[in-house]
Amino acid sequence: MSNFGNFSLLLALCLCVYSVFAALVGAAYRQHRIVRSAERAALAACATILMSLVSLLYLLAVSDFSVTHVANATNRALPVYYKLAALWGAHDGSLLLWVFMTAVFSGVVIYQNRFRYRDMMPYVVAVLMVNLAFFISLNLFLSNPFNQLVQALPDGTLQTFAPQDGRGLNPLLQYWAMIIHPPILYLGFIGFVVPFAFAIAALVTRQLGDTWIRTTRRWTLVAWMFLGTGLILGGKWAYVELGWGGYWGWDPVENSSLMPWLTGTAFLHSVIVQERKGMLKVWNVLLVVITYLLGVFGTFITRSGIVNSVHAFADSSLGKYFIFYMVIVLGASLYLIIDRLPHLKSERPLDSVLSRESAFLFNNLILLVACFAVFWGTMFPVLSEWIQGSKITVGPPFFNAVNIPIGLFLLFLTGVGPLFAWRKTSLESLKKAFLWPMAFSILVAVGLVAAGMRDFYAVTSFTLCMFVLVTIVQEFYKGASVRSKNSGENFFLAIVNLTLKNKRRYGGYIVHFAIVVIFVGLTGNAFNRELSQPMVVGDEMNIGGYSLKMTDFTEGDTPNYQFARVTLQAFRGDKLIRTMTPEKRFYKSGDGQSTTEVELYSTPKEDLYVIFAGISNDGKRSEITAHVNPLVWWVWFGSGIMFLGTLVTLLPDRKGAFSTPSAVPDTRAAIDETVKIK
Amino acid sequence: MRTRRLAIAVLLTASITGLPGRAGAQKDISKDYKEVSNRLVCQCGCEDQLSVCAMQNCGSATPMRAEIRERLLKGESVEAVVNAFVERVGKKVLSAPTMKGFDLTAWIMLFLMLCLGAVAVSWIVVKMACPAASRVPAPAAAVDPRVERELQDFEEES
Repeated sequence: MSNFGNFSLLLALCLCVYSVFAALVGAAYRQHRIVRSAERAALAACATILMSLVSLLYLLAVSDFSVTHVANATNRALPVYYKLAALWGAHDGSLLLWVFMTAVFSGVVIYQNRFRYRDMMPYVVAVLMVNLAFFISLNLFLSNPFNQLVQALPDGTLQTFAPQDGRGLNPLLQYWAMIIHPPILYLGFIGFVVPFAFAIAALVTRQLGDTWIRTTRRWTLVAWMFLGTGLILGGKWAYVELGWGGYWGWDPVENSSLMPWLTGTAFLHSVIVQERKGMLKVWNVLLVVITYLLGVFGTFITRSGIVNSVHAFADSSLGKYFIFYMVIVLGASLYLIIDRLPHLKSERPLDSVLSRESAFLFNNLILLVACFAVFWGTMFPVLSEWIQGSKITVGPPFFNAVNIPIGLFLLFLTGVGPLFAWRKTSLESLKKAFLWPMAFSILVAVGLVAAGMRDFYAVTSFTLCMFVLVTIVQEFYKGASVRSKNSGENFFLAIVNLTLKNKRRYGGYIVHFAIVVIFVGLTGNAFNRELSQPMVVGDEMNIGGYSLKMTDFTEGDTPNYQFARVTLQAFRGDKLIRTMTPEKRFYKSGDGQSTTEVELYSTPKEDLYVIFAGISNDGKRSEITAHVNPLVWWVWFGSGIMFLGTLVTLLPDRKGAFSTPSAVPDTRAAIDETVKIK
Repeated sequence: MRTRRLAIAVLLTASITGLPGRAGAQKDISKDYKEVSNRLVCQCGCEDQLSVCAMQNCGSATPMRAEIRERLLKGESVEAVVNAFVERVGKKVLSAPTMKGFDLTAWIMLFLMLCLGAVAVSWIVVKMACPAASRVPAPAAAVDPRVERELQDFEEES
């Protein structure tokens, strides 16, 4: 089966290479049949990659330890779902998953557009297949999951062998979110290859209007949604599995996922300007290229061993190949952009500095600066080592100092953007638009300070959250009022129909609302409390209005690990709210790694987060660390809203949804008419 | 069973040495301890802050934590404790770049980029803004209220 998997992968590589050449030759000689052949070869490559993936899943399921990946990432005691999830538990298998997902994206795009954009598609196919061929080559020649274990016999010959058991899956990966977190994150990273392919095709064919943007908008949104969801799931995993009480540690791998998300967010905003005004064409192409490259860069960070991270795979020899690939892609893209500059001119001038277009530009600037801050902080240790010869650490104090103000300014822009009109905004209307958001936010600021809150960033954040919230409510209220007046719908139905009628705009506002909710959760960090205390049965510790009473200490054994467990009764006042059982686990397989199993009592107000840290030197006391982390629940809740908001923007257009008998007049036509008359 | 208990006890033990708030502590050092352990990095290779490294029996974090606790209990300030580690281990023990020498570029570069970006965007906005159009009075002043309202409606619908 491993030979079959290997062969399938090799065949896929051949098909990709053929597809690239056939697509380019077909485009050059305008031979539709050759282009079609390239597309079919690409689809066949996808099918062979699927076969390769199924082969590895089979090998994992049957515990064929003669295969290195299976032996390194699983053992017999592992439940079957973790055996299958171990596909991405080690470097080579995870690269195969990456290849598979890239193939799926490429295959769907090629199939979906088989009758459309015939000028662009050969180049789209070529770019997608070059990208796929690069990753298949790495997987096949440098990090092959089908390699077999060999042993040297006394006579010097090599022979394959299968150990009795494997090393097992890293215990930190044995958590439900880890079954879905990497694939979702990969979907996000990989998804940006589609807008990149269309952007390059648009540059080559000089078709730099809105077509490529409209075609790839949903793909960009899907990739952005998956990347965001992957980031949140990673945070949830870190919170529950790593046991240090937080969910975001500015780890290089976390950072490398955040960077394309930030540039992707910038792109999603700036394409609106291009679609509506024909402006920012160079900027949008650049953003797509940067976002795609940051996705590759993220993989490079994770797989090259250039930086140290709990999320990274061990050192590998892939780094230089990634650098080579990124340099080639960047060089070719920049050449195309510079060469096509005359085709990338704005179709209209900016009517006014006080306009939504300007607001979008500043939003893009801040998002890019945030991205650069993350990039700079992530790579500065490498730069420092290169220049000074000594590696320094750039950790959370740096990132927080830099990114908190940037984040708050972005939050401010989230609120300000919708208050500006397209083309130009008068100071008078701006004053009117700012009135209620400002009034409410000042009220919140005064209230918080009066209530004794003194943390500058926390007060600013809550104030801005209120500001943005009121702008969003204002937008829905104004829209629904107009609709309700014109159509006779009741107000709430008007809100629903308003959203369904313009899913992109109002779905966007739902996402903005989610950002507000997430910021509320993030701001809770300013009030975290922590206490460590050695305890014996009968002892109590008190933190943030909770008291924890130790009632038991037990040890146990499972086929997979041994454990030591403390039982604590958590009280809020006199009321027992939860019996908590934090654990330490000692895994039998592999390196005998230990993990901390956190116990969590989560409410919208705060999380009570309890860890069994260890046993004292005299062996009599259990060290318990408790954290009270306010508002964390809102981070996860906000993320759910963000997911839903993005889904709303992705919903296909459907006429007559919840329509009422009295149709809403075509306001756009009426306005056009008015403007013409004037 | 005894062997297993022993193994678990050994594995569990050393990591907690030096945690603050242990029985017998003379004064509350938890806030200072938290600050110092946030500013220092564990030297075991994990590159986590001392407050974050959760490795069992970590050969670096455990003695560092014990030393921090000891120094703070003796009455040393946060700065003094941090400086003591920097003198002995080097600045690689710090979790953020200093404001001196080459490390300063880590901080300056960002503000440089922000300023450059702001200048570039402002230039683009001013360059792209049509001078003639910018002299036209804003809609609220020029267009009658009905048109303004309709434009507003147009905004809602589009």
